[in-house]
Amino acid sequence: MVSDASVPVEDLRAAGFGDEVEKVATAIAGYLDDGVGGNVAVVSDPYAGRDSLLAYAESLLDGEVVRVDLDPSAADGTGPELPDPGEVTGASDTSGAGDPSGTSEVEDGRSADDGAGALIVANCHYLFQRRIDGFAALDAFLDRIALSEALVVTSWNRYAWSYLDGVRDVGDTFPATVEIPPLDAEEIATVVEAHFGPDLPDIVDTGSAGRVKTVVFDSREVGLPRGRSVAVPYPKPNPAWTASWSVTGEDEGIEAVTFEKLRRVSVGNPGVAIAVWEESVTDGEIAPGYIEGFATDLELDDDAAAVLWTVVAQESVGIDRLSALFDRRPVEATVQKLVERGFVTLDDDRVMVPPRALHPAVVALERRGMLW
Amino acid sequence: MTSSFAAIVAGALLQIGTPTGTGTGTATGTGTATPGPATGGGTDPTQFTPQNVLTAAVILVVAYLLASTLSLVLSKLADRLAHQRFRVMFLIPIVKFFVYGGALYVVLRLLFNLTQTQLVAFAGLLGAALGLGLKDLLADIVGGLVVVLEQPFQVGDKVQMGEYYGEVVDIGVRSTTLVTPTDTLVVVPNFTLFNDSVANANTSDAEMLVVVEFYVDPDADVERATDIVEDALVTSPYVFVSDATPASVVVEDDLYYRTLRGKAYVNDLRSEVKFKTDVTERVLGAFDDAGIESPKVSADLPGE
Repeated sequence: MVSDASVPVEDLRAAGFGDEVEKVATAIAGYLDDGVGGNVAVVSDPYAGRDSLLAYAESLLDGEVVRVDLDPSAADGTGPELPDPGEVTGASDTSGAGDPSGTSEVEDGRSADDGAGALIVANCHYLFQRRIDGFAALDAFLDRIALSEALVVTSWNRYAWSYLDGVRDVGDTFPATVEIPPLDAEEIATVVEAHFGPDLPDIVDTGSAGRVKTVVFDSREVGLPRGRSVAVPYPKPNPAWTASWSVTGEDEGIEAVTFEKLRRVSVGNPGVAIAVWEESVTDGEIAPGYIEGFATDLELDDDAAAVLWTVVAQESVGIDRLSALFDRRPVEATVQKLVERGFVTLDDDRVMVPPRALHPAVVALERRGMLW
Repeated sequence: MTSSFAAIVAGALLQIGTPTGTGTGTATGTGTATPGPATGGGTDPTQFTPQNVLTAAVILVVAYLLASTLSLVLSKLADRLAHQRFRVMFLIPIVKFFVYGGALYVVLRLLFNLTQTQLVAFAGLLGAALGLGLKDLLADIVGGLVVVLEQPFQVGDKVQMGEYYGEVVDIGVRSTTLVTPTDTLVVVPNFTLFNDSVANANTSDAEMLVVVEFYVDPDADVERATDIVEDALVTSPYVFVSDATPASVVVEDDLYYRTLRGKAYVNDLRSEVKFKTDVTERVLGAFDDAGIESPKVSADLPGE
């Protein structure tokens, strides 16, 4: 199971996610004060820290909550049931929703003092399968929580969320949607320092900054007649490089370059940044040149694109489920091809996208118009 | 080779840049002057020297090579952009028209001096040429200009021109080239634009509405069939759904059958056929599983 809980909520708050953390806190405060809940969706890329926000929500509720961690079998059931405030709260069901009710293994709960109960559901992107009749569990769950007075805090994969918002309008059911944005280089540095502690490896200048660029290109939409527009690229100086040791002679410059390189490789995703940082430390040292991006220009055929979309949007999918989902496609051969190119990993018959390959996979799918 | 090309073109431009009407002369040993090649304003309005004709030919060849190269480069760039390729493709006909227009201008300036008198003469010549059968060619060229200026379609669009439907792969000075769904290359004269309506299925967006039709027996569970078609549309890997481009199913009733018309946008118009195939295969399979039958041919129908 992919987990992004490696980024504590304190790190996210320190890194500038205060607004996102506050949205969750406000929804929970309303429930604790008035007993009236609402539906909250925490949406992010894989590894970007949504599990941390759920853990934070759980801590605010001080145990008076049912937590359900869904797994891919959730699509076979009818989704998690709402907690019965008179019976069970304060427990976790980490078995996923292989149990359609999502509550049968909940034990040792405490009675809620008031309110309609609180429910935390992690990984709601497992509530559907992209096939005919694959939305039954999702639809049942959304119907159940739509008119409920319970507090329901959910987490979703960003790409599954966008898809489901297009085809099922899931956003309508969640008035409070918290989207975790990408971090800039300074925020990435804060997350890394908060995660690994003050004794970071020595950041050294090897004379090569890798592929950090002095000038980067951004683009701006320029309107054309008849409502059309065209993206015009324009050069923009890279402040991290401009302020680097190589330019200014200041010792701290190389740190700026290192974290800018880390931001670029991780595309501001804190979980990916931490994973890349760990992989890049060599003999207790790290340098911009040690941080290498994923150097594969992936051209996807139809089979690979369909499989990769499923893995990116659902984060962890068993081979058997993929085979059932794409019964007319050569799933095993496609997965093998993606594994060989490093875009997915196969662990105990589960297919996942490793942190470093996430952004290249997203770019490849965006180029095919499959991510909305 | 390159340097000689450059020298010829530079010479041509130099000649164009020289003030006309002055003439050049070469002194003879007897003290009389013989006029050199006239450069306009004199008695000979043209400069049809072998060198100029050769230069004009070279300029046209260079223009052709340049237009082809730029077109190829832009096409490759557009292919790399994949879903965003329309941001580049609309430039292809514009670039070609600028290159060919510039080359034509240089050649005309080189071979003719377009004073008022000669312009009239040229127009007369043009009129005669039209009368002799170049009318269609001129109509094609004007049609090409309209395509560039008005842009009723671009390279990459799916259009119906006359009796042909396909993806526009080239907009030329004289004609537009389509590739039909059966992979046939069709060259459609640009003057078709004046004589026939042109239907553009996507107006330079990658997304395009595709309609897939199914016919079921009047006794079949239409509600279930509608759910199946809708699910098949939105779960296809080729679909694109948003608030502005929703997927929908329209049901129409008839005496002997009911029509389910599924409408959805594909994320790339090149996937039109694959989308239809994918949806049709899965819907038919699900209809079988759900016991939804195709219309039965009634014995009451004429001819049965």
